[in-house]
Amino acid sequence: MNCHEARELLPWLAAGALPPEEQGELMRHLAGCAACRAELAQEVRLAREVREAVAGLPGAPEGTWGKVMARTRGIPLGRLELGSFLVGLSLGLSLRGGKLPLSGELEVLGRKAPLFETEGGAR
Amino acid sequence: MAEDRELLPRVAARDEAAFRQLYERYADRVFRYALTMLRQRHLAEEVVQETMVAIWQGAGSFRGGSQVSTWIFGIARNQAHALLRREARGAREPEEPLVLPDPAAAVEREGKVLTALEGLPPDQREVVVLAFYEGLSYREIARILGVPEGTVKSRMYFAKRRLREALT
Repeated sequence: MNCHEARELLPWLAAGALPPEEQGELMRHLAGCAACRAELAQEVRLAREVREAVAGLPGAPEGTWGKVMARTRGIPLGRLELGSFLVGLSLGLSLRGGKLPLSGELEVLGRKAPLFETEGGAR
Repeated sequence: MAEDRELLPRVAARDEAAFRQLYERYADRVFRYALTMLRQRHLAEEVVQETMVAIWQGAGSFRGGSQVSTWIFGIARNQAHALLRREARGAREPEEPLVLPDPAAAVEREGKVLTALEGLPPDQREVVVLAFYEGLSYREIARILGVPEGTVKSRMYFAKRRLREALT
């Protein structure tokens, strides 16, 4: 491996994202090349600074999860629970994307498993 | 804690707890990636929403040919670029600066780094963010972007040169 090839891989070594199979040859080159070791030190610093700066940006707003759920589960319109605390069946009707899907869940000893979900068709 | 790969089949089976775990792991990361690309918070939030809905609908189609993170950031990237095209067609709102003034020295340095990132062409910026923030390999980035691996390496080369110039 020459210096040009080594320097193409240094950013990914600095990012901790170089596949192990490519690390060996690069490490051997670095062991014998002071110039590329100095370059790696700069790459590591740059990678750390970018990582910290982007990680310092705000995360997703608090209400985002609720919006995602409204689009996936829909807005609940009604729920019918049947059975006992041992085994139960629940049927739910919701409004999602202009449709009225009906879903059913089986509950056994507190563990829920989805049974079915209809498309709901157009309103 | 369940691995991402274990969560996807559960999401496909409509397990909301598994979906919530994936959301907790990826929402902020996707939001920040989208923010560096779109520079408007409401659009970055839209990318998170669209990405999560796509995961909910498509979890069953994940075949395991890549890392889950590569698959998710591929979806996020497509959504971000779709929004960029939509915004380009309509009246685009002014971009928000990524940096808010803060007197603390460490934050000042972070501000300089973000300003330098903003100064990169978008195709170079996303390579830098996906590599240094997300820790994705050049192969994974090439797969997400749909470009040859050599293109990813050359974008990184030019991006680093610009960043170093801006930060010295």
